[in-house]
Amino acid sequence: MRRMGIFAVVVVILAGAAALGWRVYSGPAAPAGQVALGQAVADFTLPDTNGQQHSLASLKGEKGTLLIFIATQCPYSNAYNQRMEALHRDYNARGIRLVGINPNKTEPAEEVRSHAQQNGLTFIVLKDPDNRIADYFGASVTPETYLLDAGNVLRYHGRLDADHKDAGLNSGELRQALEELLGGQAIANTGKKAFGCTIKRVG
Amino acid sequence: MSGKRAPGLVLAILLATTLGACSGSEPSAPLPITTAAEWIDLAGLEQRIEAERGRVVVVNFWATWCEPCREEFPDLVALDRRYRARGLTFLSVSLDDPAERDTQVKKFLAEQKPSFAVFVKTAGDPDQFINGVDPAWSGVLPATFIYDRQGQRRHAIFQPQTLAQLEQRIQPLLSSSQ
Repeated sequence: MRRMGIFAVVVVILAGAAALGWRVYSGPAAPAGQVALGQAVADFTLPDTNGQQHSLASLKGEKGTLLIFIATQCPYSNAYNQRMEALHRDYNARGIRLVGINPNKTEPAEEVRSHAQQNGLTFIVLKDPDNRIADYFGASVTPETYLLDAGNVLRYHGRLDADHKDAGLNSGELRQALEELLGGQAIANTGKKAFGCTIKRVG
Repeated sequence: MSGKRAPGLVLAILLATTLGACSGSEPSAPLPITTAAEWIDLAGLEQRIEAERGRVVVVNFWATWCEPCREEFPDLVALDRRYRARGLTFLSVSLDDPAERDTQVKKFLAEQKPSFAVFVKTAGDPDQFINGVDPAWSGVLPATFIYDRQGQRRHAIFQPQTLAQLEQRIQPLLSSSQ
């Protein structure tokens, strides 16, 4: 009986450890299916570049949330670094939270962290190690943006502007959508196709 | 083959080629090949595909900054070499920045030595071009579209392909009624 008791304790400890391990190492919780314009985005959790987990619910802005899939090595994404930082600077105080997400399997968290530092990106950048969130959003390339309103409904999906080489465009198409969202108006242009580097997916 | 008969053979091939192209008889001959990275816009591409009616056409969109595209490229070169004489026309369209045509694109082509026609998309809104090619295409690269001999699009592929995968797709089209 005593032996069985010890066995039971060991089983419970192992089960507990396994459960804890699963929670820690199973990767981000991801909603099933794929979200479309006009639909509410389900909550999800991703780690930042230090491994700390963040849920969408904990990050969302008061007026909305701007998710941008970005890369460290993609020239298209990098062409927009300063434009993305300007968006963060201009809209954070107005209630829009910018969240960068790196979905590339070829770009580890340390690289994402140093890339953000070197390029002066002060918004949070999360790592999507299994591309499960990129899959959920149907993201194909970097940079690719998703604007959610205060209720996490997807209102804009696409590019920042028409030309990665023309910094003067200043994310004009996306800014127009942001202004319309903040002004309580319908968004006239819900996003043209993002063009950039293909996301390097797992598997 | 004797040296005397060769000129006659060349003439016959030239004549057949010209007649084939003019009359639309099947299989038609491929248009002249250029790897000079000529400019192309949506209308030009559509005309080019149309002009190849009677042959199976593979159109591949790529860019030098797209690593999967660069990895895929040698298989495309091999595909063209293996199947051109059997009725395949391969059209390659670079979506590189126009400013990089004479540097990055031509440098890459000099390394790869493709024998198929290579074009570079003219400057302009990528969204319009992508939607013009196929509204279902997100713009992801590489992207490959395959047309049958009747000019109907039969495959739209949005991920890198191997030679074997492409062969599997084109062989039935090549052997279908001409």
